[in-house]
Amino acid sequence: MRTILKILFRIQTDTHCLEDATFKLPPYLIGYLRVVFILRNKYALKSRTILNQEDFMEALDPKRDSFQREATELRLGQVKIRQEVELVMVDLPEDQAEPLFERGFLPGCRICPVRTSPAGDPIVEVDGSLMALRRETANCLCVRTLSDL
Amino acid sequence: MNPLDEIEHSEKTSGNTDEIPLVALAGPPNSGKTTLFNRLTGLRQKVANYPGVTVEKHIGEVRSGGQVLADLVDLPGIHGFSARTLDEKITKEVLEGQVDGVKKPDAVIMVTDSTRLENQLMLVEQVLELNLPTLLVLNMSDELKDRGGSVNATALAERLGVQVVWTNGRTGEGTEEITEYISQLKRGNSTQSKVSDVLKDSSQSRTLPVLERFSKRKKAVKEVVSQVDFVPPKPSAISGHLDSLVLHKIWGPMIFFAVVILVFQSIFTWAVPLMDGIQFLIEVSGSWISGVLADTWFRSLLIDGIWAGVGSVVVFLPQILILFLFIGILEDSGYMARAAVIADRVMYRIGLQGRAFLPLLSGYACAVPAILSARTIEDDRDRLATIFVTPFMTCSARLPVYVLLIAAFIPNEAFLGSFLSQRTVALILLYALGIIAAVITAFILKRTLLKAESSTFLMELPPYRLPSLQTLGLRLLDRGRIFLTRVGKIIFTVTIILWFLTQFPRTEFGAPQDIEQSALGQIGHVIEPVIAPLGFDWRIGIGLVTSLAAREVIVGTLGTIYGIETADEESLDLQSALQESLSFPAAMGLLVFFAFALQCMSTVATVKRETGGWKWASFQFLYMLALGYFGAFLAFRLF
Repeated sequence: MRTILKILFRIQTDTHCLEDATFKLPPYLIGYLRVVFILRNKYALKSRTILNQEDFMEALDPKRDSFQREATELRLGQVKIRQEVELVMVDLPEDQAEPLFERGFLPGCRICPVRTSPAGDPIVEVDGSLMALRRETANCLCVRTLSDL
Repeated sequence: MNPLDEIEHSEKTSGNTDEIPLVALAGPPNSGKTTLFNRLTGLRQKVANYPGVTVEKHIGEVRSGGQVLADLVDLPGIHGFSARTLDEKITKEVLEGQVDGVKKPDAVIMVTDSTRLENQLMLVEQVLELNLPTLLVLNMSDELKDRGGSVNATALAERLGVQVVWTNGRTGEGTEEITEYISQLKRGNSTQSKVSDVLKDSSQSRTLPVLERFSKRKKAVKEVVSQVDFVPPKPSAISGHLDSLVLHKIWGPMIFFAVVILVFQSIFTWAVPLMDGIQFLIEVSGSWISGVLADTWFRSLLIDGIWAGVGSVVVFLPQILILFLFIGILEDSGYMARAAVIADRVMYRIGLQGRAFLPLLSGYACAVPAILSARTIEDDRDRLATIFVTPFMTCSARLPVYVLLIAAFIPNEAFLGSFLSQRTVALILLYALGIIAAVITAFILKRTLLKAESSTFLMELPPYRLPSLQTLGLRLLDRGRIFLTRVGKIIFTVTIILWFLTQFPRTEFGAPQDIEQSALGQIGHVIEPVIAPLGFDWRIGIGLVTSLAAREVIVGTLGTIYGIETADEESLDLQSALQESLSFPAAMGLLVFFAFALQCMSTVATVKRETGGWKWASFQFLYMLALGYFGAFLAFRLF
């Protein structure tokens, strides 16, 4: 029981361990955990209230690696001040993402957090312009550090 | 408007302006576009509305040597053409020649802030896609140089296939080149030498999905930027230092509150002598006119109708102008964007967003300009919610009503020691009541009717800059004019209608009757059963009807009803007359009613225009009326 709890805890923090777990989990359990965690991630990250069938299918399909990627990806909200990162993708529905695209938040662009607002929301530099956004939005921007390139 | 009218209309306008080319001035916000517009046109500009919408159309003439070269239209500052905001929609439609009454521009002057060139080229490209002759203006040339940036303008011109001009809005450098470009248009020389490949690339991209469309543009921009030796300027050191103070964890909010208090102080104390002066002038001129004219119905209409109507509008002008002077300084200096960022967290909790801070602050002077300033809010739901709750802010027209009732019913005794008087506490409570109603309403609205998954709040923080006096001054003129025409027209009409209602029907001898027998008095009697549960009689009923013109009109109306000459809110006669006919609980109810109810036709009309229909305007009016009624009822029962 304890080991299972431990594994569950590890899975929560790092989903890679699903694959290289110390003992073989039955495939149906892996499938179940995939569903649980992808829904959890989706829910937490997008504050989406209605979960559609696509999410289930995506979670159940072992070939899709988006499940792993989403959980391990660095979000703009976690980036330290003065650490320049590159935008990988905007994890938002199109109508909410469009204002971001319009101001230059496009995959491949460099973003550098320069300070935080008094309430702790990030203020970043993009293409020489200072932009303030909410941390909720920043947490929907998947980025990678430049050293990863 | 039926289609036939439209055709006729557009034919007429195109026929009239065939001679003079129309040039559109486009660009992102904070690019110095308006300063440039003022430089090019001087004071030869007029403001009008685009048909059907309330976005102002600023048109000016560009002259050289006494000859009109072109009409220049200043478009609202935008970030793109996705038509999310009213401003974006209007800009797009004007540039595509889809607005009737405005012909398709013959050329576009695209103003950019050269220090943020890379970011702004995205918009430039969208403008180029429109295939209009374009002049690209690289503004803020001095700032770019000072901060160590540079760009090869010749290469940029070649790459984009348009003319490029350096300008400096502050010194006026480069304005002659723009005038020269415009005069070439007048002579009919086509300046568009060739269609650039950037344009060809992206003109096909309109059908692409959003992300790919933008990515393609971005790629093209990157390419351009790398070819024109663009050296981005170093971040402005002064802006950085200021930001670390203004957005500091502790100092930031403190500066924010200091600014808000300063604005309040200016509206409520510094504007008072000016307002008193205007009041005095209106009274003096009114009594002078009534001395000159014979005592006829005409004199009564002129003095009690027209003069009183004009007076009740003009008296608020100093407050509005001072408020907008401050807002202008805050906006042009770049602080307003920071204030919105600071306010965003709190606003977000109640269902609004940072940009709602400006309308809500302006709402303390007058809801009409406040609602107009909600236009910068990109998200439609956020904008509607902001418009909906703005009239809950205690506007200055409520103040005379509060002052009269508080002075008449609340003793001037100390409250909790000698620090505050009971009257002050009552006034503070009334302000708080408005805020609470606004917060709760916004909270409920954003969870029911205006429910959205979540909106993206994205605020660009422009570098700090010194505001230009000319731009500030012209904007003040503009705001004053909007206020006088918007609010004036409605208050004026309503006061004249009310005057007729007090004068008719007449007695057999043709003289006006007592106010109780007049049409207005009868209306008062008709609504008496409805307001009786609140402890109001027909006299207050009349006051409630007349205050629909503007809230403070009730003070004058009650003066007329009680037969008190020169009644203002400090009149002791009026206070004692009120004490006799109104019980204390009913007076408290009346205060609460005025805190909540939307007793202002100008606001209703503005909301109707801004939201594009009666739906929201009537819903808001009824909601606030219901809240006022039940609030008054509760107060009447509880006190």
